[in-house]
Amino acid sequence: MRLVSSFVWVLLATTLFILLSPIIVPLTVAFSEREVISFPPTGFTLKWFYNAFKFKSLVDGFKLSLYIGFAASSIAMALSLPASYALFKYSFKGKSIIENIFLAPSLMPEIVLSYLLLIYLIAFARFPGSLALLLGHILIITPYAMRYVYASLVNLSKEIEEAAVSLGAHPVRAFLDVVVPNVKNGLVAGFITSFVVSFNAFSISLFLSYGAMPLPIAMWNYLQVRYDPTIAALSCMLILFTVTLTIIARRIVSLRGV
Amino acid sequence: MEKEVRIKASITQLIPFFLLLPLLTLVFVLLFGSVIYVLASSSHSIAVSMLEVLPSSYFISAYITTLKVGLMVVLLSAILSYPLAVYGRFVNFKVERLLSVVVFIPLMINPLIRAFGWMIILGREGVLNSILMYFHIITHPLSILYTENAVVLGLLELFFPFMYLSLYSSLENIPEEYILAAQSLGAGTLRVFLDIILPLSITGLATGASIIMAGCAAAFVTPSILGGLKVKTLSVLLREYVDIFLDWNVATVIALVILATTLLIIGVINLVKKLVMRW
Repeated sequence: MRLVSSFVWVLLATTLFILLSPIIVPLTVAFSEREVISFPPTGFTLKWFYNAFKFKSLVDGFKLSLYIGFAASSIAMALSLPASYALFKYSFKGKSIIENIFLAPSLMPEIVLSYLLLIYLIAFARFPGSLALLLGHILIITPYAMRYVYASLVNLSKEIEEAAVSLGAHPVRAFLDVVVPNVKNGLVAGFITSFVVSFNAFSISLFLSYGAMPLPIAMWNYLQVRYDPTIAALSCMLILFTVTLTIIARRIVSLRGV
Repeated sequence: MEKEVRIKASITQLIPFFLLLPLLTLVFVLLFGSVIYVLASSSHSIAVSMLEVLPSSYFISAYITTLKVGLMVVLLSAILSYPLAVYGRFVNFKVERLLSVVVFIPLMINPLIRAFGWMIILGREGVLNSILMYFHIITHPLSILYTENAVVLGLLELFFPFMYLSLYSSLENIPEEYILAAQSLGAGTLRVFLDIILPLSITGLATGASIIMAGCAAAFVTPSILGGLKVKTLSVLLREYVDIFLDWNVATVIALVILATTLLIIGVINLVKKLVMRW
């Protein structure tokens, strides 16, 4: 039995190392004084954090990622709310087919989807790059938005809305005054999650960005040319940013079993 | 009057349709539209390049690399997560409490940052080599970065959580009474494992394996950063044909192969799961 448990502890240590070391290591390197990434880090400096703001491509990429994430999540949520409401409230033929269609973007490998959209939207339909990028992001975050909105509707009992209608409220009024406030938390959490997915998305941005580059692509390009602690410093800030957002989303709504 | 009522009733029936329409149109036009457009507009040139690409050595070697890397990741993540999940479920609940938190941390962080972290760890003057040299375990730095092993490690970090979570959820569904019953009838630990735990958790293993294989076939950032110029998986090859060689006929063939492989893996594993459930 002791042999078994020491075997398990070895596996646990290995797993924790594999899962956490690539996250912890950039954090330590970011404060190192040497120009080249080296280990163990020497000295303590914040200059790489300043440096990250000096590169226009990185700053512009951050702004673009914020805009795209914000716009794509807003649109995805605005479209997911009525669609989930229809799936939740009404029963009709072909409902399961429609549910599967909404899940389809997550079954398609992102890199394939990105390439197909490049041919279809940019080469064939001649969409401007920014519009194609936005549409691509909306498409990949739709399954996440739907999942959160639908889950928060399921938790709501159908009776409250029916009660409002039977007391004389117009259905639209009942929806806005009764349903929306009750699923508000789910909507906020869904928005944050969609934003983080869009903010971190890589392939879709790589294939659909012409000219203006979202942050992950700008970082990728930077890494191909330079290997200094700037990207480590930027990584620190981004880890803090996305982890905080995700924890807020988890706090607002717990999605166990959905 | 009656007519008015009927019209009103049919309008009411259309409400769900109107609510679904915007999102349905978007997904349909973009997702299915792009697939149909690509297949319809260039079916002839796709067929021609398919005959040229599929037997070529660069394609076959990329395909084999992708499968090999995927299988290694499945194997390693199963070896790591199976004992941990079983131990956490039946022996020491603290292990599960720890892992259920830790497993979600990487999922919040951009895969690009995690691949960059591996670069710092595995590089010639990286963390791993510095530590091994410091303790005189090796005299020359190992070259791990830009090899298949680096890609396997990076993808293992990316996909381990999915294997663990699907294994644990299948173990969670095994009632403890089954095990107590077997033990009271005299079954030893090994017997309990082979006859109860293993058969009842095989679907979790299959789900995890299919998510990982499909994920490895489609992953791009991790193999492109950790594999350098040497390790070419299908998705790395696809991007080269789009951006560097500018040969979109070949790129289309590669994209379709990735898609077909992914769907095939998901299909086969679902079939296996169904057969196992019936049996």
